[in-house]
Amino acid sequence: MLKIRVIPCLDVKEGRVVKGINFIDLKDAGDPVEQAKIYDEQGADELCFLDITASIEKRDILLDIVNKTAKKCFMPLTVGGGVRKVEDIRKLLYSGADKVSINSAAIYDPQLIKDASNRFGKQCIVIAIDAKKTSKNSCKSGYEVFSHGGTKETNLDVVDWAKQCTDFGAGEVLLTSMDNDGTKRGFNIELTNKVTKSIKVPVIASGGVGELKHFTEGACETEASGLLAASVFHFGKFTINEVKKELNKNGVAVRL
Amino acid sequence: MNIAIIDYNSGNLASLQNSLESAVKNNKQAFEVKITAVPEEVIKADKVILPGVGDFFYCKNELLKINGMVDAINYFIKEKEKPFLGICIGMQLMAKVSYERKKNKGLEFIDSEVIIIESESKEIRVPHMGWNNVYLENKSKEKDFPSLKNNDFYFVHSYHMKCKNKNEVLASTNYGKKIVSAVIKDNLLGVQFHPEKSQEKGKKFLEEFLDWKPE
Repeated sequence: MLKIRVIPCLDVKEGRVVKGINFIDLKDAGDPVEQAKIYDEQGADELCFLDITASIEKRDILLDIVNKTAKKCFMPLTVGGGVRKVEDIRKLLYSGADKVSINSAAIYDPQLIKDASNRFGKQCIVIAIDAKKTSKNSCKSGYEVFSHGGTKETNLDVVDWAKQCTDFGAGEVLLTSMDNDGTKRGFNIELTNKVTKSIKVPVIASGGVGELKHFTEGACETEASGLLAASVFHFGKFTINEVKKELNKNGVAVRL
Repeated sequence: MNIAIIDYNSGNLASLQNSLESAVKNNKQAFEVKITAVPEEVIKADKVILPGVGDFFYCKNELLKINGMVDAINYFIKEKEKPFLGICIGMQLMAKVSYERKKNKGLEFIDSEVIIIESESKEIRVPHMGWNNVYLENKSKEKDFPSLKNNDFYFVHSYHMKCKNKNEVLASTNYGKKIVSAVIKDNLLGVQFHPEKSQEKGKKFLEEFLDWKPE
């Protein structure tokens, strides 16, 4: 049986792991390579690595970190942040990433999804979607997609966009609820379900975890294939192992 | 002992090399792991690994681009009869034919075809991505590959291999229905999952491959 994936996320800024509350107010939680090693030892099912302030000049720092991390980790590694071109993806994969997540660039140039998927295979193309509740008429599902780290409105409906991404060849969707992110009140169940019900590729739910029971809610009340969290792991609130034990106790299939 | 990983522009070779080198450390014999795109190096090696991510069509074309590489693989498997391991698309390339994108001939080592994973429910999402149990089917190989006896390995694929001969199915995995997760034929071994991404169990499997002496 396929297990639900518990995925710690490293938000990286200029080579250091940080985690923002609602995307601002960053705190430093250390060296990304060391953190990755700890997660590997704890039995994380996958690791996500987001360069939250990616710019062309910083790209080399990220490649170097990806390379060092890949050497220490024997689990799948997803890397994202500032991916704009097929060449960016090639470099990240070459440095040791197994999957690359694309966010803003896919919104402004959906052809990138097609090109990347044809070139590298859909299994390594993850589309990251940041969504926020809205009452705009253009967003029938009630959620709008935001770009540029959650700072720009796009008028795109989250369900329409998720469908378009998979039509274009995305192999996975990483869905973050901006309303819940950093609030510690749990995953956005409604948003997650709207997206998982509309597409057939795996969906990773993200944003809002504060307590152990939130993982169980995410696993039992949605069809998410993976559950992602950052700050609760960084600041040692609980370990990957504790999360898995909790899920297992509640009848969710996990890799122990 | 020399292990050659075939470099044909189709996979995350660094992680495979890292993982192998880590497996080598636990082994008593001296191994040298080499990433190579040179057919002669492949022929000279004691063990060969053909990785592969992406799609069948792309991988096959990249393999054909290297002059003499397919012949070297053939020679290594059929004449030298030494251990050969295909991973993911590297395993699927051993098939007779693949239907990914369009019908395409494989290297025809294993009587099989590569077909899409059918999804009849939202529980069976495609790609099949994540950790899933591998069950050993060919019990006579348990002493060679104990790690394949009901352990979780990391999968990421949309197509799977359907074998004609049951005795060539080394292990299987349930995803909607039973799919082949490892094949074996004489000195040829193939796995659908990624041992290099499967943490301790993956390393264990690679160690078993290093120790493997095909009958």
